Amino acid sequence: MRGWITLYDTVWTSEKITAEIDSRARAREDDYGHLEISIPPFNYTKITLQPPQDHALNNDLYSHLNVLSTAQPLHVNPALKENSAVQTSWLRGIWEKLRSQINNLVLFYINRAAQQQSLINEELTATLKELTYAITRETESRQEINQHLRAEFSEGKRPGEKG
Amino acid sequence: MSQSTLNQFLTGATVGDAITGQALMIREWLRDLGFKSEIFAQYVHESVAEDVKQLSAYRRTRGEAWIIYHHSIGSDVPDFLSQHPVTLLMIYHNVTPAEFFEQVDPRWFNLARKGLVQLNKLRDQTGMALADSEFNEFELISNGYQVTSVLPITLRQEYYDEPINPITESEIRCNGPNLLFVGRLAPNKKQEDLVKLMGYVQRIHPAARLFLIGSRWEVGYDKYVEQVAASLGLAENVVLTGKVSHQDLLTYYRSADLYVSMSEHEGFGMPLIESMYCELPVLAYGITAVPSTMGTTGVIFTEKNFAELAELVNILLTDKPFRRRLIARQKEHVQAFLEPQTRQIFEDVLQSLNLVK
Repeated sequence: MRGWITLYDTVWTSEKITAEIDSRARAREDDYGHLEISIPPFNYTKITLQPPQDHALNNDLYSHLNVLSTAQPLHVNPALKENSAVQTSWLRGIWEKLRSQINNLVLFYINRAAQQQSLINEELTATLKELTYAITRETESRQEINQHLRAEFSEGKRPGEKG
Repeated sequence: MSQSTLNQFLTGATVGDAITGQALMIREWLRDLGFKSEIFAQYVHESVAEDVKQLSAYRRTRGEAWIIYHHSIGSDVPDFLSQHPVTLLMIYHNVTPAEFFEQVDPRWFNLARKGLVQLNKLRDQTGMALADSEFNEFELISNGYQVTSVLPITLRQEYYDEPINPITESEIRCNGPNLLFVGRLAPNKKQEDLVKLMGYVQRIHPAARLFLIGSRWEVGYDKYVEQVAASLGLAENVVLTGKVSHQDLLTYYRSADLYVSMSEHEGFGMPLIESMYCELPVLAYGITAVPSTMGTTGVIFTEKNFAELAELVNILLTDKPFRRRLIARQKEHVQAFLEPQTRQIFEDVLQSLNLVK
């Protein structure tokens, strides 16, 4: 455990403060028992996209969004590849070269379109996430206000009335 | 002066953002030196629309051989700049590693990865690269950059001497002790570890509170932090304030008892410096740029031993002579981040590039 604290002080040194900490931690454990806290790791899809409790929003929205958030985006580059045509005869050579160039050109435009679409997908997913999140918070906030109003109403108060 | 215009480019600009703040300050320095200087960004928040222009509005002027580019996350700005015959004076603010967003946020995962790819692509167009910390300079060198130096982010002293909000102050001081962390709610900042630490601190100080200041940046992460707090019975002790006004931010710095950071990635760590200026003792996990930003001040730990850390927090909260010594040393350290010093570094850089005589 030594050496995990760095400080620059005229009274406390790293060794001295570590020893003091160890001593206090032992004493606290003796007095109050061992404390071990563990927390779940952050996992966006499992933790955040939960619909509000009163089913005010369709569960499918969250399900679709989970699928979108975890889908692997395409990673393509619209690069033209080297011509790999093998010349066996001059006519076949020309044909292979032409075929290869056209093939590369088609790939170039397909990859470029896929790249753009992938970008659009990511932006749309992010937008939907933000919107869903905002709607969820607003719904929860409305539920709280409703509960509060119901409680006041059941106590015979008018909405907003004090006392 | 060999060129009369020196513009700056960045990905996004918004109020309260450290990079935007630095760009605005550099613009002032450049204009004082007689340059025509504007700031251009791909994303311009309405809060800074009067100061920052859209990237598409940029027109290169005759004789404009250099531009200043602030690099952080991946964006369209590097591709835009590569279309112009200009040399970059890059200011590198670091790219948060993509691994923090893997299986969490595909968009940010890709932007972070793109940021590193672009850092490599920009090398040949860059005449000099400045980093805002030694840690960032090391990354530049690792990526093949040869002409590098360090330009720390400037702390605008006058902003931090402004009066605090008495209402917020009384709300903070009514209970405690109060721990503080400032930073957007994001997985690399590890706010959940602060909540976990609170679980141990609370055994020593039952009324202790943790204030997490920062925008709810990563959708869902804030909720996760709230859920962790609730599951530990700390819903009342952990307060997520969201983004606050500058006056309230100052109030938190000046009214809290200890600044604690568990962050696992910092390119610079502006709140560490802000805390020091506002006389708040700092305890931080010493990783990435944190040790170089903190220098020989504050208290740094390198292992997350939560039970022991809670005892360390207790010492820092109760040993008043120790607190006084820490605060005095921090206040001395922070002088290096104030305007006269950083401005001189910047002007020396321009001189070395023959941009000013």
